[in-house]
This record gives sequence, C-alpha cells and structure tokens, in this order.
Amino acid sequence: MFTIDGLTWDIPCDIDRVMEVRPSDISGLLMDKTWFNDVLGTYLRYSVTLAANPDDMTAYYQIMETLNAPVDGHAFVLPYNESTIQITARVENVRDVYVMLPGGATYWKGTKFDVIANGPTKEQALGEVIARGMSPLPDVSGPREGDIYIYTNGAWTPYTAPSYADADDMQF
Amino acid sequence: MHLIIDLQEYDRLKGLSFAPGADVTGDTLPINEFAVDVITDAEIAAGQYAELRDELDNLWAKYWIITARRVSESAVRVVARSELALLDGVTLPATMYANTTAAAVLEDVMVRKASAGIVAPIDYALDSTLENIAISGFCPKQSARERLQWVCMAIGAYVKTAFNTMTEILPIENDATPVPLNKTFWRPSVTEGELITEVRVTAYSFTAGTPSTTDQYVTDEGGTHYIVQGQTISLANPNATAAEPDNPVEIEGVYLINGDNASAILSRMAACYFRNRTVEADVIDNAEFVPGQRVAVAVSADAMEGGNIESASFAFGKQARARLTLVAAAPVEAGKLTVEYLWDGNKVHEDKYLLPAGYAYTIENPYLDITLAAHRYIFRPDDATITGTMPALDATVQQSVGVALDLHEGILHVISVDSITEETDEITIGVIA
Repeated sequence: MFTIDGLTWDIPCDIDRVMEVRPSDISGLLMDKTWFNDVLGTYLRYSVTLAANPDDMTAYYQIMETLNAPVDGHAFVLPYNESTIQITARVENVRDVYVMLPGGATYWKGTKFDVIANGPTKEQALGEVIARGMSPLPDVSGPREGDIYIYTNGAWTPYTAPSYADADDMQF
Repeated sequence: MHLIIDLQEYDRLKGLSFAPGADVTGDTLPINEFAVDVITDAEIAAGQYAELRDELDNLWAKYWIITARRVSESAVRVVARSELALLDGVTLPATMYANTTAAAVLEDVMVRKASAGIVAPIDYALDSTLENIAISGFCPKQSARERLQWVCMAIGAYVKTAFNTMTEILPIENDATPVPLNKTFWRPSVTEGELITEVRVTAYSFTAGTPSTTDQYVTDEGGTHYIVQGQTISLANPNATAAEPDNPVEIEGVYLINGDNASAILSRMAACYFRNRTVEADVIDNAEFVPGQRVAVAVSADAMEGGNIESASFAFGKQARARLTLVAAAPVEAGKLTVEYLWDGNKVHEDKYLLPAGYAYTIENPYLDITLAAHRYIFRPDDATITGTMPALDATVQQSVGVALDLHEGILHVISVDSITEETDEITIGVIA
C-alpha cells in the first residue's frame, strides 16, 4: 500500500528501499590523510513493483497517468520502519509489460517505478557540520555528576545497583 | 546558500559561480562577481543589491545586480558585481594632492554614478592604520576605480570585496595564517615563475610653473601646469645570479609615488615580485580564507608555502571548497606541533599540526571519544585551549584530560559534565546489551 498525491492504492506490491547518505562533489582526501566527506544529507529512494488488478484496470490506468505526469515531484507516503514517511519525490523509470495471448486476451504486468526523494530526509545544520570533530557529549536526559545511567528500551534511565545484605544485615 | 534581494529571500539556487579575487601588487583592482540561476516565478530587477548568504546567514557577498535575465519559465539568471564596477562609471578630475590624508582622498573616490551628473557615496571602510597616510602627487583625469588603484599602490593597501557588507581597504599582510592540514586537500601544487632580477620604481616631484618645450608636465583641472621630474630607484633580487638574463619589473607613471613613499613601495613590490612562486591549493573554506589574505598551506608532510590569495574559486556542497591561487609565494619555515592528551599521565590521543615558525597559535582542545579496555570514555580537556608560539623546530605540548563519561557494559557513569548537548544516538552506538 502506498499513497501518491493523497490517493492511497491498496494493491499488492513490493517496495525496495535504499537509504543513501549522499556526499557532495567537494569531498576528497585531505593533507592529514583523512577523507573529507561532505554529506549533503540522507536521501530515500524506493523501487516499487506492483501487480495490476485485472478486475480494476481503471485504477491501474489512473496510477500510470499519475506516475507519468510531467511534474517536479509527487507527495508520497511510503513505508518507513514501523510506520510511514511522507516525502516529496520524483518518479523515474516507469515501466510495464503488455502481454497479448492467443485468442485476444491482453493484460499489463511487471509494473515498476522508482521514487526518488527530492530533498534529504535527514540533514545536519551547517554549523554542526563545521564543528564536526568536537565530539559532542551525549544527551542522557540531564545527568548530574555521580549519576549512573543504563540504556534500556531505547532510553537512558537512572541505574540503581542492586543491594545485598549479609547475615549481619550489613548492606552492600 | 541563499540570496536576499530587496528583503526577499530566494533559497532555490542553481549553478552558482563565485570566484572572488584581490590584487596585492596594485597592478589591477579586480571586479568580483557571482552568477546564479534563481528558481522563481517572480521577476528580479537589475540595479539593486543582492546579498549572497550561507545557511548560517553569514554574508559571502553583497554585490550590485548588473543583469537579471529570465532564462527559463522557472529561472532567472542573476549576475551581480562588486561595487568596484560602479566606480568605473565615475570620472574624477585631474587633481594635485599635497599631503592629503588617504581618508580624505578616498571620500572623493568611493562614489558611484546615481544619475546624470550626480554621484552618490559608496559605503566603505578604510583600515585605521591607513587613514592618516599622506598622499602627495598628481592624478590625471581617470575613473574612480583607477584612482583607487593608485591610492592603494601609494599606501600599501588592497581592496577586499567579499565576505563583507561594504568594500574594505586593508593593509597588505606580511604574516601568513596557516591553513590546517585537515582543511587542505591533497595536494597543493607549486609553480616556479620567471625570476625577476630587479624592481624599479620611479618617484615624482612637481613644480608649478610654465613648462618649456622640453619639460614633461601635467595640468590639473584648474589649468595649473606642473613640471614633472622623475627619479628611479631600484632593488636587485639577491637571489639573481650574474648569469641570469635581465628581467626587471618597472613601475612608472604612477604620479602618487614620491620621495617619501618610494622606498616603502619598492620594498613591497620587491616582496611581491621576488617571491616568484604560485601555489594552487584546494581547501575547505567556509568563508575563512579571503582573497588578499596571506596564508600558508602544507605542500608536503613537513613543508609549507606562504602566499597571498589572488583568487578563490568556490565549489559548493554542504560546506564550501575553494581553489586558492596564492601569488608572491615562498617557502615558509615550519615545524610540527604535537599536542599530546594525557589521562593520569598516560597518552590517550595526539593531534599534529604543521605551523609556521613564530606563529602564535590558539588550539581549541576537543572532547575525546575513546574506547579503552572495553570502556568507552568521553574525555574532556582540563583547559579549553592551548596557546603558544611555534618554535623553529618540531615541538610537543601536553594537555591533561579527565573522564567526563564512562560507558561500560551498558552502564553509563557520569563523572564530570558542565552541560549536555542535544545530540542523540552518540553514546548508544557502543552499548553492550
């Protein structure tokens, strides 16, 4: 299932996802022998393979007309981890195969297209990028000196060491 | 990058070209420009200022739009030039200066044509060390740009027209600022130019009077004639051998050179022309290295070349990369500075810098993210910066660090923190579940 320009198509499809951390052309080797990677941002690219429903070819034709519209981009809602993501993306390489069978039966199959995000879904601010190399202290939800934290269930939480008591009720 | 024109912001730009230059020899005053396709449906008018700014809103250039032409249904090609281009449109009268301060001369020079016969001042800043230098001598009828060039030659200045809100007139630098190794791309090239064997400068004096037929003379706007006498002084290149073919540089016909400033001008010209190397270096340049500035770049692991930035041709990604052309370049005595970071007396990290001898450095100490014996430590330096002066030879300085955070087997011990940034995901990478 995916959504183009507000229309959701609940049809069988395979969706390949590529997450590209894209460097710019100005990246290169530096005199300190390290690589300068000028990351523009993270761009998403999906390749969608869908199956036309022979009982609803009108919907299929509508999808194809939407996909081949000569516009800069479409508003897509596509799967992203456990949820979905909304991106403005261009459509490239729309292709399908027209099958003709003896006896006059015809249908479309092998429909594929690429969805390439027009902008990054993740991007660092220029100030952060320039300051790279200064290791930032992590966000551990406001620790104080002497605190101990443990990372559980995706978050840092205060950690209390288990205590024990010996036979004389001495606490450890 | 984005443009601001008449308070309107345009952030959809394509094909930006920006390669500002500066001339420290006084030979020319380059007119800088940027050109860019602005993706917009709106019309953009020429004859107004356009500001080129980066994501952090730092100003890269404030230039006058020369042309704004629609090149497609969605794009307007904007070409904007530095204010020096406006000086070309103003003709200044022939003038004799007698101990006039540079500040006073420039008030008349820094103007643009506002309408027929009317000129308007251009905003500019003259460095305070140059303000009171006396200008004496004659200037013929010439454009304001050419007059500015003569003044720069006379007072030892160059014009900076990038990365500023107004044109700046600054003294020519002698000391080179090093470009860090981690901002210099592999690897700069050095070209040896032809050897200049001698620099000759002609100084002039003027006497009001009626010239004879054999006298050289000039005439000011009021019709007063001045008889001109010239005297040439010279300086031979100490590196030129007797076998070298004679190849002098002669500076003559600049009537603002006089007996008082000739030897200083000769020294400056010799410093430029006798250092006959050119260096091409690609650097990460987020508006830090500016045409006209004198910088030193590493050309190998242990050698640096210093020169004045004649031009900086920019390519833009997230950050900016500039191809710097350094002129009047020469080898710079340099040494390696090693900064050792010590924890309980043990070295946990070191950084190396290649710096010119005598350079007064200030190094910002980084937080260190280091894994030792299954502990992931964030070390914080005991001092924010290290300062000192680079000796002629290699040197080592030490900086103690303490543990700020200690991550071990999924448990994070907070040892010493002042503040916590909003960065996320950083420490989670090393979590041992």
